[in-house]
Amino acid sequence: MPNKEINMGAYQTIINGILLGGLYGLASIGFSLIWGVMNIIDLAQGAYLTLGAYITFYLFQFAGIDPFLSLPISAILLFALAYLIEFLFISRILKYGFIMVLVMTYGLNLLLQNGMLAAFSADYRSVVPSYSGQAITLAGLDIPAIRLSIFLVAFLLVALLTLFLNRSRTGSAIRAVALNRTAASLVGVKTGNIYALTYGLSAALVGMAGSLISMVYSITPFLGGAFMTKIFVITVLGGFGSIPGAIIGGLILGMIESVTAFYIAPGLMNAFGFILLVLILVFRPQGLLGKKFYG
Amino acid sequence: MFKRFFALLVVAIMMVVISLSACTSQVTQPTSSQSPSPTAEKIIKIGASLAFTGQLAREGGLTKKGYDLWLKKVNEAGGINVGGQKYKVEIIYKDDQSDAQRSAKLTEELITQDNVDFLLGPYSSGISAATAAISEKYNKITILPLANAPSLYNLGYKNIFGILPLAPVYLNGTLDLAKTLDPSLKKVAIVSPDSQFPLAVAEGAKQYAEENGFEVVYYDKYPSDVKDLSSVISKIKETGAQILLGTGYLADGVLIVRNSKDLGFKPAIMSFTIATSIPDFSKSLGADAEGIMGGEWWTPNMKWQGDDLFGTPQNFAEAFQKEYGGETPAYYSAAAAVSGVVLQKAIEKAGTLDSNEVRQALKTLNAQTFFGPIRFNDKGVNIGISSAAVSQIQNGKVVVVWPLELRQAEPIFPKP
Repeated sequence: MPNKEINMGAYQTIINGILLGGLYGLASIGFSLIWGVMNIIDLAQGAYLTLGAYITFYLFQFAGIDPFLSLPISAILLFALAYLIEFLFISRILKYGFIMVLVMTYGLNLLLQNGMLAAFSADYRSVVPSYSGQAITLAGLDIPAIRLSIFLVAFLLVALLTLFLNRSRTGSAIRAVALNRTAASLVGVKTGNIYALTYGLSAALVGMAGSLISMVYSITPFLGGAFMTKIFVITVLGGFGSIPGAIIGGLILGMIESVTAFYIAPGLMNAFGFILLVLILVFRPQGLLGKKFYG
Repeated sequence: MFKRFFALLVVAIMMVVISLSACTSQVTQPTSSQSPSPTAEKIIKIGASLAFTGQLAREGGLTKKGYDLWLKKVNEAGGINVGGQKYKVEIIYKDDQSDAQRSAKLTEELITQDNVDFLLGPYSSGISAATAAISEKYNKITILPLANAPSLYNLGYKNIFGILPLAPVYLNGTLDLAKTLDPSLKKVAIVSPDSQFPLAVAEGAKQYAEENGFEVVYYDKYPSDVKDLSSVISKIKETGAQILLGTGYLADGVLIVRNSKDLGFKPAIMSFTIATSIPDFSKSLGADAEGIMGGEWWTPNMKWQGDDLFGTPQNFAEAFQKEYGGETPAYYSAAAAVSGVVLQKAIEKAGTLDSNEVRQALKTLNAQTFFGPIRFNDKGVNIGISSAAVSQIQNGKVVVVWPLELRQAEPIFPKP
């Protein structure tokens, strides 16, 4: 009997870790994509994530739109915003190197964060749909319905993104630019346009992650900041520019946090995540699934 | 490639850290100080160095509102009676910018240059520790409205008197209440974010639980920036805990409630230090907040009866709303105002402004106030109330359920 209980705990921990990891993975894809294609670190991703969460919150609160149905809306809005930001600001300073872009996105992040603070206030908000808290009980294990749906949606989005990148003309162009910008422009790819597109796409992805996250966590203007550190670890873990890498990195981090919290001590969750980061950097600096080039 | 990658990574991590720390610094609020009235009447000068700008500006502002309201009321009533003579009261404010070193320096200035007779405390235990050393050096009494870290009162200072009961007793009320509800409630789980105040509360709760025959089946801390507590809740669920105590801040409580619901964990009692006292909590959780309990130092609907200027919490709330455009007072302002009340009572009892006499009066004080009964132990800690009261969210409203003399409604038990 006690043996069985130990197993139950183990299974529940694994489920918790996987569900959390899927969410982490989805939040990291956009960041990883931009890093791979444009070779920039986009610190504004956290703010886009928060914006996505707020969009879902307001649609749910005032228009009664189901959080899952708000995904396309937050994707479109964030795509438009980020496309504009890339076109207006980032494209102009790309030629000064990645440090300048880093400073730019850092500034953008602060600007967006404080803009949200002014517009939405620092109040804690949550999206609580009617089906929140329902769980599927399977052989004595609790699988929260919302988290499971989020996990499935995350995988659906990843599949769509992979299809888009591999099968569509635009997707091929994005991969071509990632491989070699000069060569791509020689064969007629409008690289400026592709950059703006990729940037918009990544913001749309992280915005949708934010929309999903809004059903699990409470929203404040600083929601994204806390996720940025995780996104970093995951991207380095999985290999920058790699979409499956981001998902696997997310799953690994989710699992480590979950197992540490259950078996060792919740206080060491972050420590173990970072220890893994250091190990990966030492032994496999390109990340688990990273290549020298993305494409 | 490697070098570039590492340089990039290091810079990026620094950026993230900087941006995270930038989040915590908040907007400022202008300072205002009272100009001394040039009348010939007798005046008691009180000094207060408070945070009007910087990180603690909001709390500092709330504290000042409490001081100011008391000041207004006491002067309207003619002032403080010192050995048969009426003295008007004046408060000299200084802005410590939420900085302990600065507060200590300003306190020294208040004593040596402004020649204040007494001091009212700054906000927070950390800053109070710095000013306490100064008030000790010059032998000036400080009433601390909002400093309740135990370490502060273990330093042997004889001139500080704290209004709030110590932090570790925050959740004791919940355990006392649990004993009266169902004697079979034995298993307690305590979780805390890894940060100073929550840990102090958690340690206090653990000790109190063990002393009172409860079995602490889970006791652990988690990183304060945590995003998911599923595994912690899974573990607690496995221990079969009947009472869950969380000592974190607002976001922690919300996370625990949502994760528990997700995982089907239903303890009979769920109680948090900071939850019921902030409207965001029930707004954020909606129906899921039903039945959740929380510690509460003071609310406007408590049933205390005092013999001070305000008398009851309701009267205080009314006066406060009238003074500040309808704003409902939080416990910060009430604790600040009652600090003035306590000082006044001690001075009137001593019949002199001499620090040593007033200290003696404070030590033997046994006051009934709108903030509850106030008595100080040798260390200067208020032991008039043994713990924070316990309130519960019932039908979306916050009602006091413990202690019995303050109870407004029967507790909902077990938690739905």
